[in-house]
Amino acid sequence: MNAIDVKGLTFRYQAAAVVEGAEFSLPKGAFAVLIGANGAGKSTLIRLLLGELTPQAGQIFLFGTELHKFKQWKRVAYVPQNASAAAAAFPATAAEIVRAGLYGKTGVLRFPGKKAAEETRRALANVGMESYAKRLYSTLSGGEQQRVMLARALAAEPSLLILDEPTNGVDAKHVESLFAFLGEQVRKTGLTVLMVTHDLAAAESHATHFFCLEKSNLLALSREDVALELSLRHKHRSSAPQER
Amino acid sequence: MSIFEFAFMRRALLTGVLLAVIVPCIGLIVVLKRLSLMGDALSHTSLAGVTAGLLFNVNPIAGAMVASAAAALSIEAIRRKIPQYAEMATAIILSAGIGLAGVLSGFVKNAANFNSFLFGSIVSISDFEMYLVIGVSAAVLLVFALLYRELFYIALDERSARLSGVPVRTVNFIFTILTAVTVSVAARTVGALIVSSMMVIPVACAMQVARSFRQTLLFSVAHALVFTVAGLCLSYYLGLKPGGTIVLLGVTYLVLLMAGKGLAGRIAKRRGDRA
Repeated sequence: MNAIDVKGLTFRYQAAAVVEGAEFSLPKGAFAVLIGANGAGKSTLIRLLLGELTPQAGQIFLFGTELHKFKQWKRVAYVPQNASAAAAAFPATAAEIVRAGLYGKTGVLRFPGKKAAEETRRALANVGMESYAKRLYSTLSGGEQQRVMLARALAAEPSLLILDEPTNGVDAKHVESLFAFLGEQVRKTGLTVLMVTHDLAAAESHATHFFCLEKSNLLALSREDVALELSLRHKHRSSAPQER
Repeated sequence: MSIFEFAFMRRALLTGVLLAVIVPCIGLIVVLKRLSLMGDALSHTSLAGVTAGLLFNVNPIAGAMVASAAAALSIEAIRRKIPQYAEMATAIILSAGIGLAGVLSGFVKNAANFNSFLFGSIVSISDFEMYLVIGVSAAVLLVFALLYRELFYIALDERSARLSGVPVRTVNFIFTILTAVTVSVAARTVGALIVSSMMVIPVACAMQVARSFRQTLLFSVAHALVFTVAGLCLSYYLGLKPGGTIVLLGVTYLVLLMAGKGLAGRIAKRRGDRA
């Protein structure tokens, strides 16, 4: 059984097609990246996968269940685009934010106990943020905030993690360590990751599947395609006039 | 003469203290959901309910509660329809509330009663109104204690909260109704024109000094308590309007706090540069 199956998916905003007849499957334990130009519809595709938008045609299956019948949303964790920026001034500690991610495990109208405190500590330690537990979220750097958001998502021990451009505003060193960390999680726990990103170079050595959304077509890229795309990007950057 | 000698002042203090505890609880979530104008929209719409109540001989607070609840639910409905312009929902309801209150107030014969809702009259509230505040306070505190984690998660990230199994629509509905009821009872005591300041100012003060969400909540309540009690005492001894005095105290303190924080930051930076 795959984590995600998409069959003949079509979605249009009025007349403008975002995806047209998209087909793809993501096996469990895959680390997939989705690239595409700004405005290509990557975030819309994510919203379709999360059931927030209804496609005009086609079907989406999560863990073998068609989306409209899918009830196990606790198996899915999501880190939205600009998650850290949107919550930048939120008056909570890193630990309080991560503890929120445990909600699915604790349940409605239950109070988290010592076990939750230990799970929070472990989730922060996993992303190298244990010593920041009591720090106010707004005082952390962009990269640190992003790691806290990741710890929150992973605290729920999801089967599928969807991240929408989590590397925006994060420095190159932290981007590389984020990919390495996710790659390790995939190998160690069997987590499935789908990440929207522009950082193809950083993704290349860690991701297992590559997709590109271009002119409403969803294309699966081979490693050769990725290498070619990267060399084209490199050439384009080299030939671009240098800023003084 | 002591402030506690008069029954009306004892009632005012008790009511003020209860409101100082519950209004910032509501206010914190409202501020974090970036709906600070919501208090304004609901209190202005509650005026429409007050005028309708006065016109049709129904308890004005009951009218205010119904109008406020309808306004709050309308804001939620519009927010869901146009999420990318969510703040527009508050502006639409605020305008509608003011318009309706303005038109209806033209037909109200007892202008003094209507004015008491504009600027509040905490020292002239009846026993019934005090018991109403006690009941609403108990409900707000109970719901807040039970739904603390849910409200926190929704304020932080509504979409992730939904994925984690938080019953977002139900919690939002309960919170919306509680906000409307709280605003209505607070409007009677501190005034419809002032109630949203009571929601936002203590929270803004707490956010300047708190080091966690829990602290932000506790400091918001603590600030509101100090402003309310000090405001009531000042207004009693200096013969000022209580609602306005409470709010002005809060605003003055916030300005001083922000200025002091800015100054402390500059001094710390200068010391750091020297070292």
